[in-house]
Amino acid sequence: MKSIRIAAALALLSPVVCHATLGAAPSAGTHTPQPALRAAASVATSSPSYTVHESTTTDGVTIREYATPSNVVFAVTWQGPTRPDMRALLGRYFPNFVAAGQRVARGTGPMIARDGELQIESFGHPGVFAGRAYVPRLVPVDVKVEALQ
Amino acid sequence: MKRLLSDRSLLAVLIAASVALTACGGGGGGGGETSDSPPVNHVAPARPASAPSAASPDTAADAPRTPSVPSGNEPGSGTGISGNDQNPAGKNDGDKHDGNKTDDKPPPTPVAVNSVPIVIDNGVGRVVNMPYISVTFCVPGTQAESQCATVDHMLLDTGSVGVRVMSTALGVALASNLPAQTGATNDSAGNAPLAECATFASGYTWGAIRRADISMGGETANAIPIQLLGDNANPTTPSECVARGGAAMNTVEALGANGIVGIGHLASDYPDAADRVLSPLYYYCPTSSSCTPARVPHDKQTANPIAAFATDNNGTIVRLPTLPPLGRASVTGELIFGIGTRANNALPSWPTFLAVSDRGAFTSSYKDRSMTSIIDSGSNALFFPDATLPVLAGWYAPAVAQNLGATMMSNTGNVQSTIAFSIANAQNLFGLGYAAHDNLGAPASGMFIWGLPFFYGRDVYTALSGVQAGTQMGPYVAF
Repeated sequence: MKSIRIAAALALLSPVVCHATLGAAPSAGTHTPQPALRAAASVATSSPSYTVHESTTTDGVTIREYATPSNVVFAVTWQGPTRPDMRALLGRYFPNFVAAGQRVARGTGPMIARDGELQIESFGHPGVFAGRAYVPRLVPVDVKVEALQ
Repeated sequence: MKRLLSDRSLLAVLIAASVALTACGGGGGGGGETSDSPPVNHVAPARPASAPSAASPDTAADAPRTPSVPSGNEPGSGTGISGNDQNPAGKNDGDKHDGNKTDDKPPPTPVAVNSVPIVIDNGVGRVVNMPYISVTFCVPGTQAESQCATVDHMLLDTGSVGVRVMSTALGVALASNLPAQTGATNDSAGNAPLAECATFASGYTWGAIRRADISMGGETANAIPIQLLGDNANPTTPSECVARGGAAMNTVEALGANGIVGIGHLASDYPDAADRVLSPLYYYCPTSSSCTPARVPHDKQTANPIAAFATDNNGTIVRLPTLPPLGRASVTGELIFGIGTRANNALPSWPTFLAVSDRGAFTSSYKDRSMTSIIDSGSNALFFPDATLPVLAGWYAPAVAQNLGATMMSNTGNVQSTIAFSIANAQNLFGLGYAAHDNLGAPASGMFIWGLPFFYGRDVYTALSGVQAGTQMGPYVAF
């Protein structure tokens, strides 16, 4: 929690636009990817009610960001040998991810949890991770989140 | 993530986080659900599951709670308890062994040197489907009582590699007597203690690497590197560890166990870390407050104790009894060391061999969809996508138990095995307060995870990578 407080303090000093995070614009748009999200390959596909921006991190994690027509990321998914930088991926919702993990004991097993505005689902074990996070409030009405992979 | 973590890249991470906080506005505070319970000992309903939009705030992989929906319909205890031995054919696939009709009694004391009992209970909190074993830790080379401690309720995890233990469970004196593991390849002085950030599905463990003699049943792994959790050697968790890991699992309450015994396919937990710095993972720490990302040779990484045994070191068998449809309050089973090395660990005549990756990955197909799959004793349910099944509080909750099936496909050859399983209403089952259920399921995206329910009523063989185990080379899973 200390590091979160530090981050929050730094935020006050940092007049930069936000990157690829839940609730913000996707990384494959006009923004510069962060190191953790640097794309080895980047593909944008469209469907009527949302766009998908796919990228692969330097450590081999495939990340998909689902954005509304107004370019707000409402869901992210990941799959790969490790978990991506969730602080970068979830942005303001990162504390919800931490809180969800703290709420009950799960051993080494998966987490499916809701904390505040964040629905978080994190599966797998070392070497084989996958998951999904979304903000139900931001999901377009005609999108079924179960279909997002 | 940058490979060489300097202060600068640390700062970059923090700035990245702060950018999000700044430009995306708002605090990410957790809302009303963040402080509702202590992690483990919570059985009361968390909150009313009222509006649909607020549904499923609770959790699949969470320890079960008393069902919160619908509040007027308390399930479970009224009808089912006395009948829980009926219909013992809870699962209907045909390839199970059937030698466990007495599974509600304590098993006979294991006489075999190569086995240790497994218990599935609520001994350290209200959890479900967490298999535990006891492990004895000693200062390397000693067997004096004062230099050893036996720790029960160590989570048995076929999905990870390495022994990790709470320092509180060892006792402060013993923990402090375990020698530090040193020897990072990029540590020019070569004598700085190692620490590790290990990522798991719902959080991370952080702590120093020490050496200990690890005994299970009658077998010992001498002076292997283990991870010590919750000690004060390195009080500051690296920022990037938190960024990937999320929640810390460095206490008994947070983990739901006194530690982890990872018996996956690999001999050390991250072979790639010998060649390059993986971040966040290993660190060398010249002082308690300065840790640098490290490359670590295989023999200095957190070790699979099975691989370090003198004999019976090519794999394991997890043997759990068949369960009745309503589950059991607690279960005992057996962990057997070695495959095809003794009379008691031979492969069956016609096993299903699944060739898997070093990390246990293969492919499962369910309802015409193929996906990455693992068999994992550390996952407490069957996790798979099925939009047709109702979900309550994060768990599948069909009104009537559903008999389903999925096909496992070996990574090599044409081996396929269709596995029948049952998914019952999790909320009803949780009302019983039991620790063991073979018909728990929850929705997953993008993976099919055969968690502990798969293990009930089977002998599940986990063969280590690169070694002969019976008639086949590992890595494989057989049953």
